[in-house]
Amino acid sequence: MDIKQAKTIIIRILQEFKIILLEYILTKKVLWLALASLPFSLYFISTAVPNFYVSAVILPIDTEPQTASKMETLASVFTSGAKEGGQKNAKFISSAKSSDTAKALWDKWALRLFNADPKNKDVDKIPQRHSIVQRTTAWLVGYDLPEYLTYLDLQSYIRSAIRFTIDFQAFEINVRMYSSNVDLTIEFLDDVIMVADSVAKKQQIIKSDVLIKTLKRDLTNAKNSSIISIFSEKINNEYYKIATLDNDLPYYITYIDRPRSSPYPISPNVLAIIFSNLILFIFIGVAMNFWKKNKDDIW
Amino acid sequence: MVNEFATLVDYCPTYCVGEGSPFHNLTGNPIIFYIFELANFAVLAFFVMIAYRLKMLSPVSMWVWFGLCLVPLGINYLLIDPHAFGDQFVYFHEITSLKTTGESVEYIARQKFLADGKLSGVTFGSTILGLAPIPNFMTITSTAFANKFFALITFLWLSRYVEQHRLLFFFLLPGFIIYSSLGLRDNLVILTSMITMIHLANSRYLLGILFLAPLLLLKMQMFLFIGIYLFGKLVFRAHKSFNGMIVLFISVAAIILVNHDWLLEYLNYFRVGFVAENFAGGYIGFAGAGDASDYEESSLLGVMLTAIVGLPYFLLMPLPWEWSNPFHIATFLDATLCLYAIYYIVTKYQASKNQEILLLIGCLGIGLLAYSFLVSNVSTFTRYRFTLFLPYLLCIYYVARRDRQSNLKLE
Repeated sequence: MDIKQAKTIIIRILQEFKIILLEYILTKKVLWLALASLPFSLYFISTAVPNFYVSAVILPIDTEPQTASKMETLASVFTSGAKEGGQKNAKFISSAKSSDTAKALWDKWALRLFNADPKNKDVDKIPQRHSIVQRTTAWLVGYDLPEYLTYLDLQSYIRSAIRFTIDFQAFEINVRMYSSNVDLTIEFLDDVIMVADSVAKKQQIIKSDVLIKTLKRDLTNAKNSSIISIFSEKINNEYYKIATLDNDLPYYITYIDRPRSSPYPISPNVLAIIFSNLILFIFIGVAMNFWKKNKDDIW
Repeated sequence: MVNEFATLVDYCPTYCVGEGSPFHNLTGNPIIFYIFELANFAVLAFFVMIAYRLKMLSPVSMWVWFGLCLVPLGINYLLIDPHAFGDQFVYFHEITSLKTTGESVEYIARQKFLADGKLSGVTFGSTILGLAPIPNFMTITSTAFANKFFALITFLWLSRYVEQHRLLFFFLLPGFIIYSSLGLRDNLVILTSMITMIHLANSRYLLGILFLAPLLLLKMQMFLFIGIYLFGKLVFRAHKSFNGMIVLFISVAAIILVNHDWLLEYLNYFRVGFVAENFAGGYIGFAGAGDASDYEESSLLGVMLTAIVGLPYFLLMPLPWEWSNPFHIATFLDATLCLYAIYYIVTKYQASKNQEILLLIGCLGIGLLAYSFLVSNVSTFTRYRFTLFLPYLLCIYYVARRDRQSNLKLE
């Protein structure tokens, strides 16, 4: 291809674009449709529910009582301190997503989150909605659909609506969700975080209780004095652990930033809606013009 | 327009959060999803109309492309759960993050940091997908539309070499329709490989290498499988002489033997890796209950035998008794259509003695044998198989037809 040919091709393409622009785009119909997209967009924007970003930043803390020897504790500072922080993050997130946390939150939040009937005051009588497909399938296959919501539904909700991310150095945890009801969400997020921590703490106390019980049982059968001494020390450690955990102090985490909302809604994206509608309406006009001018050739 | 809160705001066309909750309207808003994605469709359809007006598309191709451009709207969320191809969210998050902040999304940045700053294939693929001139990157379906744009451009380019109505066969294979309608990089791999192979078939080596280079990041194994074709053609003239091809394969065998230990370790590593990925509980589950020695081969002969024995199954999987979803039927259909197409091309264009076709089939065979050894997960490997097969099939068709026509002219 020489320069002359290239020039001819470029001129032809430019001419074609000019034709496309004049015949298909810059027509009265398209311009009217472009204008019509504005009220359409405004309707969507005015009926859309603004959603805000609610987030909290938390930090794992080392309140777990040390039961190891001093030397072991000192060594862990140098060897596994960071790893332990990462593990605490993971343990906290697992606790927040657990059914135990959902169970602990159920009584307080079930009615506020799921209840559509203001007359109903019973948390165990919140009717569960099912889609037509689910109902038809159940009828056809012959099984019963659950009638009421349970704490497991709250667990599913926590798992799907709240996002937990651990930062780059596996140090902080960002907990976030988005909502149109800012006050409710801030309170809910705060409760989830605190209850998840307290559930983790309770589990640790239960674990220590079970350990004490087992160790005491084995201690009665032990004959060797060194074993008796080790068992006794372990039992004391577990008692000490319970004593330090059985209070209102946080266990895994502490707040860096308490739950707060973004000042502006992050959804719906108003500009994107206006822009997309404009493109759609222009396209409808262009497609109509295209059809009108080419309907005899395109078959 | 970019969804800068992509990791949080998922404009899905169905209610992502249970309808019983007061939060039910937060994530799913069907109308907003369709407004965003129909705008993307509108721009692609506009490109199709311009291409038709510029006589770059025939009427049939134009209608087919209108249809193909609509497919992304019907695949994710409607036909399949997008989490079945969960990587789509990774690409989508990365594209939106790159477009809004210029930085990778945090979990990819972390992987990059752990890999000593090495550019990730996801970042590279996302950068390319982000170049598509579509108006919105608001949902994973937008990424699928970006893929469709690149497919359209490649179709227009390829129609310089292959008649459009024949080219449509390749673009209407069920596998291609699916992969080009998802927000994954497989479509980019297929298209780049197609362009590379057509350039190489036309002995335009510099352009071929230019398009081959991205495959190093997009799909390393495709880079190697096409690299053999380039190497054979450029260095050994294996497309002209049978002896050249023999020398090529002896050289490849010699390289393999010299690197015997390393290669064996590498192949076993990936084989066990794929098995572990598919194991109950993933890698952690495999570490606890799996036994790597069950899947490792101790010699290259063992690797070859395993690959050859498994090849027929690999070529046709998933077999009818393994079908558990419509995708399995589509991939089986792909496999049989591709195999029949090779047979048809070779017989119709009398290409069984065409040296370049033999070279291409040889290179394709090496790729298929490698995958046949590694195969563990049906869904992943049918995707890999299609990504390898389609560019080779197109190139085989192009070379066979071109050589047959030039022979007829000579006669």
